[in-house]
Amino acid sequence: MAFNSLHFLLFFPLVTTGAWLLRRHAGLRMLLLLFASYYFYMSWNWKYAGLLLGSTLLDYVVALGMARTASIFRRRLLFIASLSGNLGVLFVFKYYNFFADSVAQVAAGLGAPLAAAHHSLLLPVGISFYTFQTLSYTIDVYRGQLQPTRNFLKFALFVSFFPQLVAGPIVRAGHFLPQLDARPRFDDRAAELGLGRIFLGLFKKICLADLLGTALVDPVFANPGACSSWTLLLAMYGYAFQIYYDFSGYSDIALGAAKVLGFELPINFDRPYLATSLRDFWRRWHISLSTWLRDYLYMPLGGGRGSALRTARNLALVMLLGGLWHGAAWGFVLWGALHGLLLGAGRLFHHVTGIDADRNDQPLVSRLARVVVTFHLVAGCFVVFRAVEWPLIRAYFGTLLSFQPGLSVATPAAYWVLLVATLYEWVPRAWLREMRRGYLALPSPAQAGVLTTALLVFAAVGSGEAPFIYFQF
Amino acid sequence: MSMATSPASVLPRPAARVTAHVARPRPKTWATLVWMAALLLTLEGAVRVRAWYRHGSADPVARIYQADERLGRRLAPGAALAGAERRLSINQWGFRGAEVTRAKPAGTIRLAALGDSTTFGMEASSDEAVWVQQAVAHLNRADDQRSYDAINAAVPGYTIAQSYHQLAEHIAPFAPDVVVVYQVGTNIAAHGRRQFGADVGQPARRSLRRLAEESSLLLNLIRLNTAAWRARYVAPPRPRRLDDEGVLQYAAAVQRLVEYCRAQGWPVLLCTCPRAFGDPTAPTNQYTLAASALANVPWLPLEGLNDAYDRYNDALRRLGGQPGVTLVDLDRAVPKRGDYFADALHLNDAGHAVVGEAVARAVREGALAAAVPMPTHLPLDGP
Repeated sequence: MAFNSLHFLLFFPLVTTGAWLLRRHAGLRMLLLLFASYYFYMSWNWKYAGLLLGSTLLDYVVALGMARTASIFRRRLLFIASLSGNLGVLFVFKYYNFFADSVAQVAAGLGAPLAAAHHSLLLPVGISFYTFQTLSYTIDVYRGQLQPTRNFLKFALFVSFFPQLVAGPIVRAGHFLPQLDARPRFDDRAAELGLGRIFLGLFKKICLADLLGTALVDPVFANPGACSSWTLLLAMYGYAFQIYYDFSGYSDIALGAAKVLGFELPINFDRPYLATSLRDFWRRWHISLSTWLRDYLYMPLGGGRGSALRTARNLALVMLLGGLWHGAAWGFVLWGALHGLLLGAGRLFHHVTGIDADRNDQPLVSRLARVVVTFHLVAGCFVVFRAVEWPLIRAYFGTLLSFQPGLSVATPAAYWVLLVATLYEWVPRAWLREMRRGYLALPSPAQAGVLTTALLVFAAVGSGEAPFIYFQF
Repeated sequence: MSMATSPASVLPRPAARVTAHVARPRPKTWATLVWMAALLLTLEGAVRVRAWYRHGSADPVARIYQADERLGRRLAPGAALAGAERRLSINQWGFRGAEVTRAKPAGTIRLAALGDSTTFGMEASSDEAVWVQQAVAHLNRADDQRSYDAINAAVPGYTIAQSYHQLAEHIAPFAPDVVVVYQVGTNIAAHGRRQFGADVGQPARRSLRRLAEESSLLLNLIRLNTAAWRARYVAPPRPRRLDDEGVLQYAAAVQRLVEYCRAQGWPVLLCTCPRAFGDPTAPTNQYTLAASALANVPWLPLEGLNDAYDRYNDALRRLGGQPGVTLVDLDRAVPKRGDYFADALHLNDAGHAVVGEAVARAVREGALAAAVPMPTHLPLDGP
């Protein structure tokens, strides 16, 4: 079930009403939310709910086991069991075919051709997200930073909470579990904000991301070799904004839905295209993943504590794995590697020259130039992310850099949406706050008028229930 | 004793209630949601009232169709709609228009019209305004020797294959003297769906989206009114055209129908399909004129749609040259302007009048003079 489907439009009000009616019965409320979350997941493919439940059971048992034993050896053994179980499932479903293909290619290159044995299992939706979420729980318990919960219902809801189940944000147990302990109190202002955020997310998804995809990105990436360099440049910008508004739209709906239900989820985006460096970009883009990678991968590798070269190596390694997390293809690995290399190079540059690109006391022109350069680096890397296959990547950049005339498939809507998408990113926060205040001050009928108009616009602009890009990861 | 009264007992109770009420504000979010639902229902209701006022029913499909095992659906005998802008009735046999007797009155030439919504006269103001009845009126006025009647056996949504079965199973008993075929639009839509439907993510048959699209007039109105905008400004340039195979299949189906008629001794009038769009000398409002066609065939760009109608019409022109078949080139007879159409393809009363006249002329000058062996029971020479 996607957030932009009619199915969700019926499902969500029913669940919300039920959850608030049961606010005085914590157990029943959790049971309802758990049931709703599994229904949400099973509406995509009921068979894979078993994987979700299996992963939940494994980490629940492992965490309790770790808390009960003082033996470091046993704790480590349990921790390894959780790691192998979760990552093993992830490997089988997400990476096995890629691995088999890669081995076969290497073997063929060595003159010993092998037939790659594939499986035809579907990639379970959201597996990368919930695997990282449960792993963070186990790691926190293993490190002694978190007391495991004995309440299975609570833990199962933490893993499967439907607003963030299939595409994040990746929530930490320390952030979510205490919210289940608190007595829910209906906060009308929070619900209003949540509802507004859901509509904002739908606007980003339907009116910006999907339109950019239909009017510009999809036709260009279908045949980049035939397009003019100008069109390819536009499509590069277009995809950068498409993936941003698609994913941040999803995150807004997730945050809004959770807020209406009385939960707070961490934000996932903070105007990433205003970043002045790649380092800054990763503080603003997919924040829940970048902080996960920082806390559970980068820091254990040594983080920035060693030499500049070691830090650069750590960054490159983390980003390489971050790329692989997105998908089982060399294009994603290349995307991660590019980010890793650029981050590592940035760190070395800082070490050698002492220049800090993130300093806010730079002149406006200098900061603006950094924003522009960073955006172009990010957008260029996203071409690799979108194209994935090497021949397509080569054709895209080959044609883009040839400065040749060719087909211009950019429709008038593409230009307008690109303009709106860019302006929305640059709107001062104070203006947005004022708009939010103005919306909240409206009486119910006027708010309903705004939201109904938005719904009708979505119906007019939307060309169906286009899937969210991050569902595939 | 009065001094012993506790202070609490003398507090004014109503004031306490007011304080409690103020402390617990009304849940605005729920009110907003209720208002939203009310607004949406009101809008849907308003569109339905408008449809009811104009057409006599908010859901004409439910009123005029009945399920049919072989043909999928047929017109429901006795159904009728009466609105301010449209009146239509289905006779006891399940055909649009006035009653006809199964046994043909002596001296009567009977026309049978086959087709989809364009022949059915979806946008005509009355049964009499539909081109089939207009043609009969022209013929009756022009011919003192014989009288004419007609069966409008067209059913909105029918393809040529369904019309063939309609002819063989339901028209044949009425012994028509001339069969008029005006049927292209639904076949083009079906052709496009078959060729490109998978590319545009058609909603699953049992999905909620499909249900909403089929049941909400508001959604349909929005979809229809944004189709031209979507095709012109959003859809990328797609050099898409319908494949030749589908056009050949259509031509073969028409030929099969023609041969059936020839075997029965019925002359056939093949009509090309007129349309509001496609005039190369007036390129400015082409998207607006083609809006409803673009909404129904969203997988084709305007150029592809024009190309499809041109090729289907050309196929009919080629078939029109054979014995027993008269071509009525409505594509050239009806100007490609909004004046003659209620939307991209459906004629308004003015368009029906032009087509009625053209068909009547073709019946007199072509079909009845065609050199095909006529069955002996046809009272061509009067009683």
